[in-house]
Amino acid sequence: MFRALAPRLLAYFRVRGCGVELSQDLVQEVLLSVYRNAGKLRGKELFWAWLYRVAANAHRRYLRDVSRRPNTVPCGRELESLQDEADDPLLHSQFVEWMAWLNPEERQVMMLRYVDELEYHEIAAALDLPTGTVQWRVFHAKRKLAARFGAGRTSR
Amino acid sequence: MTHGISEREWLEYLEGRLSRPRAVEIRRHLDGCPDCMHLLGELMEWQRRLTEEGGQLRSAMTPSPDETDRFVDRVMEQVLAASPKSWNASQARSTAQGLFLLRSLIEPIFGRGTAQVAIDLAVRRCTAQPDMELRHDDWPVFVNNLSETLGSISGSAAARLVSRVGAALAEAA
Repeated sequence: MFRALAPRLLAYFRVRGCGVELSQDLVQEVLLSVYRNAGKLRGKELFWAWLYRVAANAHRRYLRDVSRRPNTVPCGRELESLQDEADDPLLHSQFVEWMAWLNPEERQVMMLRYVDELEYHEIAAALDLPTGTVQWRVFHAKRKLAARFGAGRTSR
Repeated sequence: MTHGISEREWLEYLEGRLSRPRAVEIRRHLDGCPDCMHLLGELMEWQRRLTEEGGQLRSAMTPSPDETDRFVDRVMEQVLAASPKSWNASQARSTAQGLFLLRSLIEPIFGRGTAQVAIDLAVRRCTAQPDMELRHDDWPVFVNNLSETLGSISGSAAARLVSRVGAALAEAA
């Protein structure tokens, strides 16, 4: 099971800006949580929604902890870190550029839909929202992107 | 809502999930409404772009199977280390099974009563309290005690038999 879940979870954290090591730490935390709590899951059809909710909580906890720490960078690692950043696929991604134009709620839904490939009802369960709200956000996010980056061709 | 078509219907129409009668209605409306046709074009184009770019980003961020294997192996070590209860439970099971097998072997040879007394004595000599369960770590001492007790009753051949069987059971566990 871990072999099936790990790649998706690693991608989940990396796409949200976590480095390789941090992503691995967070995925490990999520997998341990899955291992301990899988028995409590009601409704197997919402497994992915539950998994992404656990992942989102782990990410939120990490961001909260980081915001409390003083911001320091070890000198020796500064150049190494700049090199890593230059190779980072996130910096060259068209998708990430588009997401920067959306508000956080729209961005969250669009990432879960188009990167994590969750269905609307799974996103709704993961975010504790009505499915209609999720669809409304996706629809308006697309219109916003079309207005900013071009409409594309007309076809049916 | 645009011209009587909700956001949900637009998305489901685009993804081919809308019910057939409603999809036919929307198609008829589109034929006579350039605004909605334009909106549909926008939505289709962005559906395509987002699916394509989202997929590329996911692929770029997904580790290779080798990396995944190495990572999962490390996590499994952590899982085992973080589960002392289940590990102890499996050790306790193997100790109880060993005791059962040893009892099954010595009862027919030494008689039920003697076997029971010898086992109780051997357990008591290697645990802190009389009613304590035999722990996995105590097994070698327990086998040695049992071997001595039965040896003192039935001679050195009996002692050797119990020692060998006890050691074989420990290896099998």
